[in-house]
Amino acid sequence: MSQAKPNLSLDLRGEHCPYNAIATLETLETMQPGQLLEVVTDCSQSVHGIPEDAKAKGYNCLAVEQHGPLFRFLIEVPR
Amino acid sequence: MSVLSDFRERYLVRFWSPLPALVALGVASAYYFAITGTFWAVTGEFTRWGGHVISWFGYAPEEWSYFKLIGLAGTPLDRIDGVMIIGMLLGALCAALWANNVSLRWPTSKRRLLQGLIGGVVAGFGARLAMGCNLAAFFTGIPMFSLHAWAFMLATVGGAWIGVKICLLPWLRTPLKVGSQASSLFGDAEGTRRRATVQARIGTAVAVLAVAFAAWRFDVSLVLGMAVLFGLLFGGLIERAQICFTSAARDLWTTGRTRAAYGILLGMAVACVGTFGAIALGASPKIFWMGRTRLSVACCSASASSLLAVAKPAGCIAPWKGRCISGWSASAMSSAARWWRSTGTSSARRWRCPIRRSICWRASARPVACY
Repeated sequence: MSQAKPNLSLDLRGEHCPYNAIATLETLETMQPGQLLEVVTDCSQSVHGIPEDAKAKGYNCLAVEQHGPLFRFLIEVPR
Repeated sequence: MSVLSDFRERYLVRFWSPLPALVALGVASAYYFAITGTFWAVTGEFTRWGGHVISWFGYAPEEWSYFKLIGLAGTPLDRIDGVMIIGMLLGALCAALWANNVSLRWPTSKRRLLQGLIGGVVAGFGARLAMGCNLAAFFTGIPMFSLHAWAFMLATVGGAWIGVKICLLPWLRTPLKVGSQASSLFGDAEGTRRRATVQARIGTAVAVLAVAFAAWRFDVSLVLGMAVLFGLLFGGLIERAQICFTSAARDLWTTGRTRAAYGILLGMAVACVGTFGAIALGASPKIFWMGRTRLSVACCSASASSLLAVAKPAGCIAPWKGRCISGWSASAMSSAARWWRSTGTSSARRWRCPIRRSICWRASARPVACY
């Protein structure tokens, strides 16, 4: 598990696709360059969706972790 | 780390890339057709299960024209579709257990629950009017060279656009939970490990059960046994790679995601080659009619299913995932208006309905029901 300290943490448990990817992108838009967002979901499909969308919009997806039924993403806003 | 736990982490826990999985599904679906003589389809069998339920209440659904069309003989255990779906459920359950990924997921709000329930009804209804969901009327319908599947595909993509617009309206959004500290949910690594061990054991028990079920069906006939094995493969692949045909169309419009859509096209291209081979060797293709109203109503239905965020097939048909009650297919529907007969696909065109201006059901190039 990555120990990097996020600036914001988004808890999307219970929210399924595509809402979790949309919420992630919307939150990232409000953040400053260099900041780190942690996203927590329990939707398996987000494992493919969130990194693909984040990369397509120019963000750096630093980590995708699976902890049982929970998924954790670390996404950085590029400087 | 032992070889076994390394293998487990790499192949049973980490999700597979959707692209190779979709190609594998394309190949497997072509073999499935060649071996069993029917295509990989799910909602038709669910309709038959509904028919069985209705017959418990004293009705005779086997006399209804729709059930005459799709057939209601025997029980799910005697039908290719029936045992394949049971195999799919077992395969998906087994894959999810081995990944330590089975849990009850509660929706964030009652709104989502209602959204899912309405979506399930609309998607199921639409899939039946279209004579197929996004398998029979799309992923395995197009390789069958049935024109109706092309109408379904175009209408689904168009309808999904409307659905997404509705889906993003403010009253369907829920407030976000944002914190400034890293989540504290991941502190208990030991607990996760223990959970994984328990789930892996249950998963192995399910796998043994699935093999026993396949053996039992092989005892009846080779085709039924093979259908169970293919079901296990389909369910396992869908769960491992999180394949969802509907979301591929929908996410073109939500965030502009395209990888799954490319994967599906590639999978269908591969399936086309295999299906063509099977037909050339004498298998009879499953062709359905195409109606004038199919396109327009398909559009409405697809938008409804997008609106309701109909998601992941494996999850949705698996009863252990609480929130996915939403039915599982994109659906195109044709209303009960006159079919545009001249647009019937090649084999359907040869037959003319004896009752002029009547509503005709046709499938597989022979008159099945007229009323």
